[in-house]
Amino acid sequence: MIRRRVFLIAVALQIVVLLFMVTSSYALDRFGKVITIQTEAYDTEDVFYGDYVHLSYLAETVRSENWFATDDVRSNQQIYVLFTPDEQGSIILRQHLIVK
Amino acid sequence: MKKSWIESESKKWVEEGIIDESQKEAIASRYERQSTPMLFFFLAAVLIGLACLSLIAANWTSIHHLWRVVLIIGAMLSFYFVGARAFMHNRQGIGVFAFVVALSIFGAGIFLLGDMYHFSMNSAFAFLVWGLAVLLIYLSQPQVFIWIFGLVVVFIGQFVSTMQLHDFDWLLMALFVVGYGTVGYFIKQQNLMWLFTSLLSILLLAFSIQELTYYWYTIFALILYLFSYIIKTGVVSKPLQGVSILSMFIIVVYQALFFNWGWQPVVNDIVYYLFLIPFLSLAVLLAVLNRERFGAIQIVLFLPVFVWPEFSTLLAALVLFAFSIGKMIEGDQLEDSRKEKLGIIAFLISVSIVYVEVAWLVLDRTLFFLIGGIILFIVGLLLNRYQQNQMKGSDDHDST
Repeated sequence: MIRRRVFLIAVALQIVVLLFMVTSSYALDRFGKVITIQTEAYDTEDVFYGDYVHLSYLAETVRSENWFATDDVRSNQQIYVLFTPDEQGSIILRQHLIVK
Repeated sequence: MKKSWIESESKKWVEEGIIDESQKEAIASRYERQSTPMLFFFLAAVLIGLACLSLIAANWTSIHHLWRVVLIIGAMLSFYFVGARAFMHNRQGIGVFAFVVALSIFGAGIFLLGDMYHFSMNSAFAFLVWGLAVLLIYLSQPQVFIWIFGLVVVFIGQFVSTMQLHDFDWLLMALFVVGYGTVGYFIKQQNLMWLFTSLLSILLLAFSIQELTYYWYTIFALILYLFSYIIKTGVVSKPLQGVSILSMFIIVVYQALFFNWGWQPVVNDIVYYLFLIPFLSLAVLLAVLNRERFGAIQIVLFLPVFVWPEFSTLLAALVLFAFSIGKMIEGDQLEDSRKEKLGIIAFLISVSIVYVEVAWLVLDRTLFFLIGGIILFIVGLLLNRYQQNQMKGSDDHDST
């Protein structure tokens, strides 16, 4: 009887996990705030792949004047960043902090 | 041991009058037929799971997002339903098969949905949820293959997290040791504990390499070794001791081979010695208290050979020789041929390493391979003669 209950709970939890992933994404679409991030293209020509466009976000780049933390950053370390809109309303990275 | 072999052999024993028919039956009944169909069901489940995965992945982009969710959850629930029905009708093989497929779909579902809805997957959290789900399903239906499946899921998650994401996940480690370890302890099957301990030691080595320095693994291996005294059950203590000794042997081989190539660490870490010295002393004390004369010899593998930088390669080689000779003598004294063979193999490896270390730098390449071949040939001849003497000795013993 207990095993049956554990089985039902285990299956139910798995469904909850999967549904949570789906609904949280739609909730973000419904209730989240839309921001505009400027993209930039690079490497538009390649000997092997031909012409193609690879886009990256401008906000991903940290300019040296915005760097306020130490240089000692480990790979995969969490970094908190502050985004603010620029004159055109596009979001850029203003500041970032490292939480040890 | 093969049941068919026992049956054919015991038939001869009955004919020769060594045993009678009832004794033959009694001996044969001790060797249960191994459940090969179960293994086939398990492998079939894994293959079909992979097939489903690749089929869906190939056509994935043309299906609407919400239909994909329905497909994943529907397929998972169907396999759980089939599995539960099979267990109710006492068809264990099909039940395990269906459950493993359902759990594979759940795991794949996490990653597929993560990809669809742009979840950041740079942590082992998905593996934690997956591993927990497998453990819960195991608790509801305690089948060994489900446990193995979960163990491998958690192991892969932790390994990927440590080596690729450079982030050792402590929650996942807790699930591995406390969750799967405790269950494995209660299953009481030695081969499963060997699997568990081997995977655990690989994770500890990965942790040492990524988060500390490789030599910290010595401390973890020593803790596993000490645990083999605390948990006295043979099912657990043998794999614990075996894996810690074997992994340390590999570490010392590495040290003997690669220290000369400039890979030798400079160990000024006092904290390391603060852990090592008390644990080593405790290991020696336990070996003495348990009257294990040879237990103390195998502890040499844990010695920090890099403590004397100029002679560390020589020290590593000496440690290997001390261990292998100790094992051979132990095997001989206790009349344990397995230990004796282990000692011989360890000795052969030690000889080869010393030969490579010394000869590669000095000798011409052709001469190097030629002398190496001759040395191995002579060792082989000696081993052969030794084994023949052993067999002769045991025949003489039988005839008297």
